Amino acid sequence: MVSNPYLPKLAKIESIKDEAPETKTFKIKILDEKIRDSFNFSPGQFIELTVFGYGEAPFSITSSPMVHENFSITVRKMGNVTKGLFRLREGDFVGVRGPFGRGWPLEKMKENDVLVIAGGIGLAPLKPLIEYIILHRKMYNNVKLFYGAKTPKDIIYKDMFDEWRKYIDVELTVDFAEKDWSGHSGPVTVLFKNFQPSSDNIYSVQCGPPIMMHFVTRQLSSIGLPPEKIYFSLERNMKCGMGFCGKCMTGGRYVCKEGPVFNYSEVKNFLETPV
Amino acid sequence: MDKIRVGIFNLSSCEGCLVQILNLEDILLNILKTFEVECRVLGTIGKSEPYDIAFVEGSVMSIEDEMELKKIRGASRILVALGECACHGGNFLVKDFDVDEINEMFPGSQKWYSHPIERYVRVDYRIPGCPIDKEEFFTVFKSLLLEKFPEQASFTVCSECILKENSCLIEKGVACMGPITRGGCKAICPTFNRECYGCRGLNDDANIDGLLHTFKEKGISIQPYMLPSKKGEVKRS
Amino acid sequence: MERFLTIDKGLMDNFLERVMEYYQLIAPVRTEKGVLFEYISGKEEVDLTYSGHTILPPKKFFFPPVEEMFVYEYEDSGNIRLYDLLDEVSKGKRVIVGVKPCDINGLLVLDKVFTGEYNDPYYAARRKNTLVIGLTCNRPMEYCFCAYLNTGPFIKRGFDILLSDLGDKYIVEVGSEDGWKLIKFNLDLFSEARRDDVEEREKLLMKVEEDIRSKGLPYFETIEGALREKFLDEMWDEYGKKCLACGKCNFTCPTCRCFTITDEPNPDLKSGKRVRTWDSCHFLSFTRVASGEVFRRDRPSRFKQRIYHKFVYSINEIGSISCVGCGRCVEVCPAKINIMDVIKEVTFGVKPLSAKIGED
Repeated sequence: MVSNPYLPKLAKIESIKDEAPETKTFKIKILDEKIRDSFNFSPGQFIELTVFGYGEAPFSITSSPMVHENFSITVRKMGNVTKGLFRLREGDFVGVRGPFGRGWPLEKMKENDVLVIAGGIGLAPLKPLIEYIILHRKMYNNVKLFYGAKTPKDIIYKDMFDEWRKYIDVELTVDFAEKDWSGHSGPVTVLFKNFQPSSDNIYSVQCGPPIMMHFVTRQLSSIGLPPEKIYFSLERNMKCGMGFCGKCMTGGRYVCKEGPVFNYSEVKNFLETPV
Repeated sequence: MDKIRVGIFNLSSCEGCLVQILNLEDILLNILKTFEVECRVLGTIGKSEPYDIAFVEGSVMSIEDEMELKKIRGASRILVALGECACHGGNFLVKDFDVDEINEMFPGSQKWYSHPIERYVRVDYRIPGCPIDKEEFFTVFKSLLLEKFPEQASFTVCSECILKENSCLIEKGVACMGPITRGGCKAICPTFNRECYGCRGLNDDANIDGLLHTFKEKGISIQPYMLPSKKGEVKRS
Repeated sequence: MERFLTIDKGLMDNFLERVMEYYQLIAPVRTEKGVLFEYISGKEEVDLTYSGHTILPPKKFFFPPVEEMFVYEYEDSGNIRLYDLLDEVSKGKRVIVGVKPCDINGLLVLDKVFTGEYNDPYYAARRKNTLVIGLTCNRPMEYCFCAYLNTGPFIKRGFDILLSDLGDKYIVEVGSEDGWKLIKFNLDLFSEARRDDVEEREKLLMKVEEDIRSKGLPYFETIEGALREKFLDEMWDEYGKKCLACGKCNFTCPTCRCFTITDEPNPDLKSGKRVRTWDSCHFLSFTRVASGEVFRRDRPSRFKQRIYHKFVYSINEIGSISCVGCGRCVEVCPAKINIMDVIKEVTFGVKPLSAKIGED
């Protein structure tokens, strides 16, 4: 019997954590032990999550790639699948397919500076990368996170930053500052104000709303990063994850299979402009 | 579990959509059993108020309609516009005589109008069609029970028509609105050789000018009530 | 395997009757709508005289417009069970007869798309349990242009048996071991082909090829490069104004295979099924994500997606253009947009850059 790649593996929600308004992190455990043990992913990859009766949608894996017992996704309530997911409680069933796609260029970035730029919930696919870098800290040079959110309330993984700051630089900004906010305010590009890459050996990785990626990419190019060192994760309507359904195709490339991580030099060759 | 309270109301209409709901008798009984849905078809607001879901059929043709509609809205969590009249003002209720024509033919003290309900109240969801498709109604109903947002079909009548391998009416010189009309009716009219007159409203990004151009090129004339632009933008008053 | 036989037309019915004893038969049927592929209950329904093509291509029997993939069910204990409907698909054996070369090539394109790093098991199961009996054309229709793409009227592979109408008999080419088996057990109905039968078939197909080529189409060798050059050309705005975005071209295309996946709960809301449905890149909702963002919002960009996927992206994806020249999209288009006109306009004055078309 051939295994059917459309059939989700049954899994249970182990825990649910509030991150921000309408945003939660779900820790998910695949029931079958064998499948669970063979569930390996690379930071930046995604899964297709089923909420039975509501459908299936793609979510980036946000937990550390070193953990095999379970994995996490961070979800903002948006469409029907996330609405259904938000109705579920700990112990409820979901379905999982994947992991799918191509993640961040871990190998290429070694021995280089890494600039991580995230907007809003776009930090989700970058969290496993940051955790991977921290675990292999000696292999990477200067590592910096620029993170922007709409308001201080919308910042996700609030409890992680202190831990991360022990290993990497973290700078935050919010579009709309509130009274008790003492940090930067404005779009994430304000964090570039005093930033100059210390050497040519620098990679940047980013994920956020298309408009953010557009301006950040312009900024990065203007400070001299070559296109092949600017990476981003694209969001598309990825229904099957295997390059069959055609919905995520952008400029002839399947974002689900060949992405979702692309570098700017690849994207420049797309006929359609995705960022 | 609390009973889910559903009210079904009708303003000015032929009640054809209500008949479509009744046509679901077997499934409805099933749902009533499993979910204790209280379903009241009434002209006035009954004892089940407030409603979790109100389905409103018909268009607003009088001040009484308007007052009742506002009362229903005030008493309901979710309000669904049911059928062409409620969704677009019943162009087809009066299809043989355009409302303006009626006013010309019967000059009197009263001025006739037929308005979509969205002109007066906020509408959470629309089930288009004249009459509604009973299966689509049921799909929406199930979605609402699951607190899903019932996604509107965003394909065309044409695309459903070709799945039935029907021969094209436009090709035969008939003014069929299939290419720009929102699907979901399984192309029932063209399947029975009746042109689509667009009762389900325009599909997303409908190319009205393109279709009119096509008609012109083929020498096909079109009845004024079918002109999509006449359905106009819905504005709340 | 090059093996030729002949069968008298009068005996074809007997052959099909015998096939129907062991297989479900799918064949062209003439209806008041036109010629359609349908499941056959009696041999008299079969019409092997049709010219051109059926309304929908045979892909509907391999990749149905609505496919139920699996059933989920919450048990009273709270556990959930899945029932894979692939098992149902794998059952039974079918023969599809009367498939034209363009449509056979359409299936060959789908074969490449649905296999690779991942395999689509629903498509594969149906392909595996279905024998293909091809039928060559004696007369091209107005919009046929297979000859320009090497997808017809001659065909070398993709069939188990290939029939050609020689008037009072069919010449039969055996294309596979399975096809030979089908004939071997009914050998009493067939005779060895004579050399002039084979030559007559050659002549017949040559004539069809000439007829198609007399339409004077541009060569497809230049299309990829020309399209790459003209991605931002104003011509697309004009097509965007004309295109009604109805999706008929996608659904009638033998190689279009985009789909969407949804869950359909049963009335009890505790069980339901996952369904995949044909989708069209011309619909606004095609690229919509949960946040409401649509990545191909304007009509010219969606019009281009179909053209570019067929003639540009496909070359990278499966190694060839994925248009087979059947002409269905031209015929069904309410706005009468002719893909051949598009190609003529695009390639006008452009020199060849690449040449990868049709079969390898």
